[in-house]
Amino acid sequence: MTSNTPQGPVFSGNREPASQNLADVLERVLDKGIVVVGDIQVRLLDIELLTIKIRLMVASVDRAREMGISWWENDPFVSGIEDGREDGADGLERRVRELEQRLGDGESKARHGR
Amino acid sequence: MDVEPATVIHAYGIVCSEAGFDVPDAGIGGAGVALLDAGPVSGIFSILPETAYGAAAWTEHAEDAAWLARVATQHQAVLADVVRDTDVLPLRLPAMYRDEVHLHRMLEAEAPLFRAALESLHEHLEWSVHLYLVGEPDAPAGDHPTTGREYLRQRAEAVSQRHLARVKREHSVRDAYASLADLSRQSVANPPQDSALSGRPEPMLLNSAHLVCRKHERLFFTAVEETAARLAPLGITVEVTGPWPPYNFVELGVEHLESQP
Repeated sequence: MTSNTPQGPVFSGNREPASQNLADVLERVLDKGIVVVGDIQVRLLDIELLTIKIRLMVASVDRAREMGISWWENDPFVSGIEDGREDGADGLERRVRELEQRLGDGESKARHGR
Repeated sequence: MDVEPATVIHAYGIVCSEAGFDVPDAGIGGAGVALLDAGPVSGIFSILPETAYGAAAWTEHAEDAAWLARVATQHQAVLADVVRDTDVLPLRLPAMYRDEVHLHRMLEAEAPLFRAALESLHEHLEWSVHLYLVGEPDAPAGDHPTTGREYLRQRAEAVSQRHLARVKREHSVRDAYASLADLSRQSVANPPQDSALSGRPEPMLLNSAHLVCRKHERLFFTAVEETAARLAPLGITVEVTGPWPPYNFVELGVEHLESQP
């Protein structure tokens, strides 16, 4: 391992210091839970706008995509799309095979060149 | 003459009226917390000063992360206390009402919906699971290349190894999610949290929420431990937080009649 070796699972109750769980709290309290638009006063707020801003703050999906971590988008548990699941991994495997093939080609060409 | 300072009602969540639990002592801004009985369901609420928490304050602080963080944390702290003892439907912020009459009217109007949701979620809590990539296995130290061809071969091999490691990691993360989902009534994988917000430099590989029966908590934790043991050799660490009210499993968008223009 190049950096810290992972230990067992870390359990933390949600009454731990807020800083530990702030992302969890914001993600839930501002982006999940029941929405009841039930009062004239609430209508004064541009809730949609607020929600969009909060969404941007809570989760940067694009950044995650850059890291190649986007499998939840095709996850059958989330989207119900069963066949979407294989694409990511298969795509990677295909690329690996292509690379291996290219590597093999390169070697045989080099051998022929001698 | 109106000398009373203006107030607004902040609602935290909704419980069954016959539920037995201790109402938390303090809510947002240290305000007292009370229960409003509306027949089959009751609302947990605080009376807050309008200047600090009214519509204007929300508009003013819509992009103020520190303010939102404080209000969100205090809102959640109240629900965290309640969820230990009983089922509670969490409300999304901002959950503001002009006065008790308006909150009561909303609770009464939506009581059948809330009651059904409470019954379907009975005895279930939400647990959050995060997987972080904290270390990568070391690349095998090959012999120092003596030829250009050898150098290129080693480079290509390193690339191939990294791809394989990534494929393996992705499979492992999926398997981890699936095995925890097996012990949950419902599960959801949310987008990983931004490190700016999580305060963690390591990439987050999984951000999932699981709806777990109180009776099955031990089983779930055992599965988490097993998962952690399987993932540790891949440089992946597992973190669990909770119990949370079922934020991720209350898909109720209620457009109350009064809000119609």
